Amino acid sequence: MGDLIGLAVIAGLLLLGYLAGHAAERRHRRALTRRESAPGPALTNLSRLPVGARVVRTELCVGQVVIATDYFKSFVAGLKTIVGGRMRMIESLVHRGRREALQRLREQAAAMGADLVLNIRMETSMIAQGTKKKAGPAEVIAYGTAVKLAD
Amino acid sequence: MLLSNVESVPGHRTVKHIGLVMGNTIRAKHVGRDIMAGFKNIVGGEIKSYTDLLSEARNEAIERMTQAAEQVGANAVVNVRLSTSAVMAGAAELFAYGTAVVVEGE
Repeated sequence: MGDLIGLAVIAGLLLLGYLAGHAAERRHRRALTRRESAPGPALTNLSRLPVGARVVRTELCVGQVVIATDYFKSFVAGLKTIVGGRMRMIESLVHRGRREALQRLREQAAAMGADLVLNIRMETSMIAQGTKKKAGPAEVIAYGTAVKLAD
Repeated sequence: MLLSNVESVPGHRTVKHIGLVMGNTIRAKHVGRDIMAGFKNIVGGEIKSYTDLLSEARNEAIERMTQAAEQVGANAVVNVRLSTSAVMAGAAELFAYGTAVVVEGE
């Protein structure tokens, strides 16, 4: 009886994770696409300004996000570590996290009226330890030097 | 204090290199935040409370680096690098470092 309840709980969590996670991911993707098409500074990982540019203002900008995978995905990911191979679901999670961090950086730079952001660096780290079967939440940061140019 | 993660502050000339400065902070999450985060691990998505916690902690690491730069008489820190690492289960270290310099406007 106890085993059955345990199984039912896991099945329920998997279903909840699948449905809620899927809906949230689609919503997030749509929102990102909309925000990315808004006008804003050019993002670069170059460290030099274009020739003849005159600087009005400069500021270090940081965008960051902590993002977690849902129960269903971490379960499937756990299975994947047995058979090996490409982990598409986790790829899309980290990619989404990166887009979000970059977008936050871009919005912060846009708020100061920047025309471009130089030398963007991105970094991903596990901030909390996951268990053997489950991936922990990941933090993504993107930072760079925002520059406002004279017209 | 001007901060930049390129080799100089755009629009300024570096007149003196002082040296490496750094700032760090280690933060533990508390239980209330952990419960919410545990829930987020089921449905997935951004864990806002962790984002805020780390954002606040990162600002503090940058602030400490800035103070170190002020103490050595700099007016800017260039080539700033940021990093995060989990030093133990349930705690993260936020670290910022860069080169303290003196700059003047062009």
